[in-house]
Amino acid sequence: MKQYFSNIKNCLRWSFVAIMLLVFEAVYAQPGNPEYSLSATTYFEVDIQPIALLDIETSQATTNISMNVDAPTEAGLGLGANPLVTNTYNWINYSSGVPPSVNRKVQVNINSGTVPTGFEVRLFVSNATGSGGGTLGVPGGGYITLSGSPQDIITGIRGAYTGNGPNHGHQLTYSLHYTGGNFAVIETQSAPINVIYTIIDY
Amino acid sequence: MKHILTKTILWCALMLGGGLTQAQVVIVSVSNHREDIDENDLTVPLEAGYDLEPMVETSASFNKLDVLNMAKSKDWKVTVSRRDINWAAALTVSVKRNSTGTPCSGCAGVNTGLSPSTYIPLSLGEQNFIYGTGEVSGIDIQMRIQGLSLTIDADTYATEIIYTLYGD
Repeated sequence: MKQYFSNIKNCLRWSFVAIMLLVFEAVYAQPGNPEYSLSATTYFEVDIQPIALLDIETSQATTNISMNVDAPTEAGLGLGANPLVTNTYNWINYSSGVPPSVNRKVQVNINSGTVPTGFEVRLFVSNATGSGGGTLGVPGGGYITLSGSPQDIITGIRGAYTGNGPNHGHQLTYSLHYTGGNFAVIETQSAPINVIYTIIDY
Repeated sequence: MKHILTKTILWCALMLGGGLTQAQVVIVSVSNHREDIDENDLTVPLEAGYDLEPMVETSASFNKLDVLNMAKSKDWKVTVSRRDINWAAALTVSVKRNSTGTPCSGCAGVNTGLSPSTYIPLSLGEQNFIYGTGEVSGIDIQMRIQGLSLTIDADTYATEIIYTLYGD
């Protein structure tokens, strides 16, 4: 008899556990209770990569520049007042995407060729204009004299774009100057030089 | 008595197991997705001076959503929301229902009147997305991101898109 009641108690105990589990399931398996596997998730990631693109645009047929020094038209005169020649047709365009805490700058240097003795080529970079956006760079202000060593011409570029083509970005003004040295060393010649612009992180 | 006890436990276990396998679920086919944005995504690819194309859109059937283990006459709805991990405030991610999927035999399926096929910009709070009745599988889901620009820091931005099933 004792065994009989013990079995009954066990049966009731297990039935109670099973019923509680069913009640638990009934409560949590219903819509409205997302805790119970009623949600699905898509992990979605956008990776914006760093971007650094720079080019030179021009309002002329080519970005090549010819700076011709005319001979004096009157015997006894020198080369005339500086600047001897000026060119304002080229523009710097860039697209820059930077990671947090990174800035970019543009440097310029003569990559190949030599400016004839007695002359120098100077460069002035204007503030950005046109249809750009973001944190555009700031020119150093004033002229620099081009040389073989890289020099900063625009700093503080972050995530930005200048717009494309001439009249967008930073206008470049090149000028050829006679340094007033020994007139006797000036020779008739053609001296091609190659100027390179580089956008770098700092 | 022992026999009765065994039968009771077995019956309960069967009921429990049966109940578990019948739990209603919502399933998506794509659980992980990454969009890489680089210089090819500029308005004019690889051309200096341009900003990024502001919007990227997936294919129309990029993701598929199933609502399963539903009684044929059971009404349901799926809400959608996002849970940010590292998300830029300037970016908007949206989802759109692009098909009605395949309802089970005798099921009404997606209620197109209550579930317009338009983009829903996701927020942290749940928004109603799709209404339906009974089981449906293979509902096409399309996604898009808006607000892309070089003015946003180059970084990895992540969020979770959560589809939640509710009953009537």
